[in-house]
Amino acid sequence: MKITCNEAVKNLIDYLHRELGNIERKKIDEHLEKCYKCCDKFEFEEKLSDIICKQGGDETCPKRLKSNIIKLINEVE
Amino acid sequence: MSSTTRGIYSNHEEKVRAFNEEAVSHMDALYRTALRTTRNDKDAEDLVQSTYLKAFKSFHQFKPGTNCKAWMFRIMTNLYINNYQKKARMPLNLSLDDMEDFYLYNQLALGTAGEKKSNVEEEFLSGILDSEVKSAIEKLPYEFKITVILADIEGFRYKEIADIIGCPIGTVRSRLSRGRKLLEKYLWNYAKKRDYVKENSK
Repeated sequence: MKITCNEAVKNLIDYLHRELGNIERKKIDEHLEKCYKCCDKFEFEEKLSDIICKQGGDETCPKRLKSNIIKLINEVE
Repeated sequence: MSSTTRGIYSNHEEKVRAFNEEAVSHMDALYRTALRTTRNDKDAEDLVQSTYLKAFKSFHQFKPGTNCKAWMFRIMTNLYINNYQKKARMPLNLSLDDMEDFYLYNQLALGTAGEKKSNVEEEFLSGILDSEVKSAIEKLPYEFKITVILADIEGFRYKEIADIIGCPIGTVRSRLSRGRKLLEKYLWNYAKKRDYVKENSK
C-alpha cells in the first residue's frame, strides 16, 4: 500500500529509532525508493543521528574516578 | 520484596563481585551522560559516584538477567532530578509545535536554490564540530536532553527510556521529535556564528 510524503514524514522519528514494525518500515522504504525528495531528507537525518551519536558523547570516565568508585564499593559496610 | 532485602548474595565479597561484573562496564556511558546533564566535570563525577554507591546499596533489588545499564540510568536520572535539577527546574514554555521538520536540511536547500550542489548537505554534516554537538545537546531543556541522550547516544529503546525516566512511550516519542528540531536549530545557529554557513536571503 502506498503512502504519501506526509505520512512518511510523520513516522520519521520512529523510523530513525527503528521503532516501526516490519510492515510500517517497509511502507516507508518503498516510498523512499520512489520519492527522491523524501529519500534525500531521510538520509540527511540518518547521517545527523550518526553524528549526534558519535560526537555527542565520546568521553570516557576518568581512571581516577573509576578506581575511586571501586574502592568505595569495597569499603561499604 | 522485603524477604529479599538482605540480598541473594551470601557474603559481601560475592555481592561486590556480582556488582562489578554487572555495573562497572556502564561507567563511561553514565559519565558522559552526567557531563551533558550537569555541564561540568566536578558535578558529573559526584553524580556518577553517588549513582554507583546508591546502586550498590540497592543491588539486592536488581534482578539478574535484566538490563543493568537501564537500571543504573534510572538511578542516575532520579538522583539528578532530586539533587541537581530542583533549583533549576523551569516550566517548559517553548512553542515547538510550529517548528518545521528537516530544519537543517531546509536551511541548506534554501541557500542553494537554483544551483543545487549535490554534496552541500554532506559537506555541512562533515564540518559540524564535536564541541557544537555537545553544546547543542547541553542547551536542550532537561526533559528533551535526557531523552535524546538515552535514545540517540545510548541506544535505548522507547520502552526502556519510558521506564528509566518514568513517562509514557508517547511522551518519549514527542520529546525525541521536538528535541531533534531544537537541536537542528541550535546546530544551524552555531554554524552561522562561525560563518560556516550564511543566513539565507529567502
